[in-house]
Amino acid sequence: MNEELEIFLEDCDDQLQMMENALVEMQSAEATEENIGAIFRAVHTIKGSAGMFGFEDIVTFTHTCENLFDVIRQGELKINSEMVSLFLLCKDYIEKLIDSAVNDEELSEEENQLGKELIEALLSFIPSEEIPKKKSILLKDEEEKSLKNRWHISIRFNKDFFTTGMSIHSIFNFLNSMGTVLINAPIIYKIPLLEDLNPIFPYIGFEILYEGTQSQEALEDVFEFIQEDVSLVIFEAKNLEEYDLLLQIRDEELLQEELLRYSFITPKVTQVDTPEPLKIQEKENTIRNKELKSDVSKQSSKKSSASLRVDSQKIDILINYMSEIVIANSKILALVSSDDEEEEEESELQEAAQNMKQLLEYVRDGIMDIRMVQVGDSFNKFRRIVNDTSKKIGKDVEFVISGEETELDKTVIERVSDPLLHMLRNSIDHGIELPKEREKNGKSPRGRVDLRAYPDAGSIVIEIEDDGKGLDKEKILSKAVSNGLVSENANLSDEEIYKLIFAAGLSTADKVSDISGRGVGMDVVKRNIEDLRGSIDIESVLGQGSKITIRLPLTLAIIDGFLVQVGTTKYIIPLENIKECIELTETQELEMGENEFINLRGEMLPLLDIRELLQEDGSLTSRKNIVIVYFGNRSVGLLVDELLDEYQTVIKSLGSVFHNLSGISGGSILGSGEIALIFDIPRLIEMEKLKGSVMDD
Amino acid sequence: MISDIDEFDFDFDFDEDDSLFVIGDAQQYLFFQSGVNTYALDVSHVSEMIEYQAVTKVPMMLPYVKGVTNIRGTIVTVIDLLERFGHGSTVIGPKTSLVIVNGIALIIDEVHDVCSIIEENIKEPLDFGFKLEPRFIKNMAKYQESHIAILNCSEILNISEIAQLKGK
Repeated sequence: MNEELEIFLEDCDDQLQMMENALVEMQSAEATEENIGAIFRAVHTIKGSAGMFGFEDIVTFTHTCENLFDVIRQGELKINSEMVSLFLLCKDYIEKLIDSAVNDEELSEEENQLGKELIEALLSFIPSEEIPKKKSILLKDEEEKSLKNRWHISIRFNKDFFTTGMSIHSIFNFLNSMGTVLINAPIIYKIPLLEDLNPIFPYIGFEILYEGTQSQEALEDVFEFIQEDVSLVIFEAKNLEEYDLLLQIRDEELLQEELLRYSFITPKVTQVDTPEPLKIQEKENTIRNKELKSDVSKQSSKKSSASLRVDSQKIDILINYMSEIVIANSKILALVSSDDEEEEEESELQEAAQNMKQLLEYVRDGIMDIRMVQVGDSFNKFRRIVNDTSKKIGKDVEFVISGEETELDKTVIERVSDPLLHMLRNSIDHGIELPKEREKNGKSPRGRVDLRAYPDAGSIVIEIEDDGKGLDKEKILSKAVSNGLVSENANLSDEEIYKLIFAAGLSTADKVSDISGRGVGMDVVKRNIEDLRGSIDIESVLGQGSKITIRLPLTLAIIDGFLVQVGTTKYIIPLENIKECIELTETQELEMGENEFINLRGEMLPLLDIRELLQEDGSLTSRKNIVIVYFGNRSVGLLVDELLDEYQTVIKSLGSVFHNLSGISGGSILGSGEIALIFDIPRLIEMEKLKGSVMDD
Repeated sequence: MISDIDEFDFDFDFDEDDSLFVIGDAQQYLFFQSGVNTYALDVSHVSEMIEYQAVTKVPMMLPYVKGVTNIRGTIVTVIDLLERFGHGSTVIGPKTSLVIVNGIALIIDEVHDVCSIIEENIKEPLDFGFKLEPRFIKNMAKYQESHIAILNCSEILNISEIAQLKGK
């Protein structure tokens, strides 16, 4: 695919997404002028750029859409939900058309048929008196019906026009498809002698008299794609004074002659006495204004090109190399600091290595930052699905998104998208009640589902909250008992009961729908989230709704950790989970006795002896240290032998043999070649909690 | 002159190929010592053999899952073959090696040889009488006048079995 086509495709994607967002918004709320305008513009832009590439199918189809929307925009027709659904289908169809056009594929018979049906459906909405207008080409509104406009279009091409990949031919193609070119005067006097001619420069220019129904704006839009590569003057042809302006702007000696020759203007007109100086000044002002305007538009288009679309694979490659550099650099640092033991003073080498480390951290953060994407885009994609789903099952749901600007690693967003979708569907299908039922329970008939994202303590929190019927503890428990997931007399806390919905094979839906309720899903959701080193929690109040909270790490590839030693094994504790490190004093140890907690500044801190937990052999040091870690609102002290160093580390998977192992998220290769295991603090805490509840029994 | 070189190259490649792959109906096997027995493994499963090196213990795993080791930047699981068979654990000595089979390192006592066994010397395993669980044995083979077991890799490295946690 060439570059221009790629830009076209990306541009269309954006436009289609905008269109969908606006449509979906209309579904749930009143149609605003803004929304209608946005959709009109999106369709119009797609039509324009498709025309530049000569994609006739797209132009024809979008044209019909545009017509109907124009009627709506003029206020002659009120948009209704039927039309919104139709437009959504049209949006999908346009997407298909673009796909097949870009990939140079033929549409299938069915797709062609679908297109015809959609066009018919669209036409049926256009008021009958509008239909005759449709027969003549591209008539758009009342004033233009009576009189087609004649426009003068003057084009000169920049030197490197041909390198953009656009062809002059397609410009004419497009103009011809929208209206009629009455006079086409090629301006050839700039073509040099053959010996001076550079074949890659477009010396040619055009003066065109064009008849069509578009507004000036619409015509200028046509050239949007190449606006930076051409110099363009468009004005209404009946305004003869404008020709004087054109002559001034072009400042070409022979132009007047040519204009006369092609009878754009008659000698009489040009012989009209030179206008009074004052008038000229006025005109100059308008020219200047115009130039200013075009400058502004140029600037804004430059601004948009300041952001860069990069193939995400390129970034992945960079991150991979970065990971290797981080490992290599920690090896250098290890070597340098081992030299240090002999020399007291900080050597230059050490200084340089430290410097390097600092710089690498900047580079790493920079690369990581490229991958960070705002969650808004992918959240907005849920709008339509939420709307479609709720409509299908006859529920009225208000879907509120907040925290769209929260940034998250692109891979994390991609991988969390399906689980989120699943949970949203669950909320609508099982959470929100039918409008009647809601009214009976004294709630507003319209349900509400919130999707929120915000950063918290080095991780990102995503919440899905609904005001539906909430989880029925008894129902879950009895189901879990009958499925053999828990024993009948188990004494579970509310939280533990809610967590059962994440167990495989448990669905509390009475009825299995095609949306959810098969009991496959929530366990997969949990697994997916945990694979991302995240955690998932659920809170619920019967009759009032439930809230699912997902915690995710900012990024997957690298973590900052603290290296500790227990027995002979080294472990890394993610820095984001560490609250503080303290030494276990003898008094504390005595105080502790047989218990597994210490008194820390008056607070009770549960203690986890890593050596005991992981069955490590005894250490050489008698000194014991406590690393206090936290996750969410829980703190635990980890009893370790030695605190080594802060360590920047690349997470590597331990392999499939260890996938049942919770509490350890992976391994990292140290500078010395040794492997250190990385603690998964959230799961370690959870594991201990479960153990605790087992002991309670 | 040039054509001579070409011919030479061609012959050379040809010979080497032959020594690496199957000639007729003979398959190549790796012979090694683990405990008191010699075993054989189909070489097509073996990607590499290295000297025993430091292994990082991973907690909560079954006793024969010894942990992980770093092979050129990749983390590889290490399993004690002797212990997997239930014959006690391998004593680490100067000849102890790691054989990488299907991406997992097996600790063995000593590598003997790589050679081929012709098909007629490969027999169905006995139902009993061998001090090894039958599921671990793929075939029996005659090698240097003694009968040895050709191991069944997929059973020895059955992930769902070795991935179990201790006490579950």
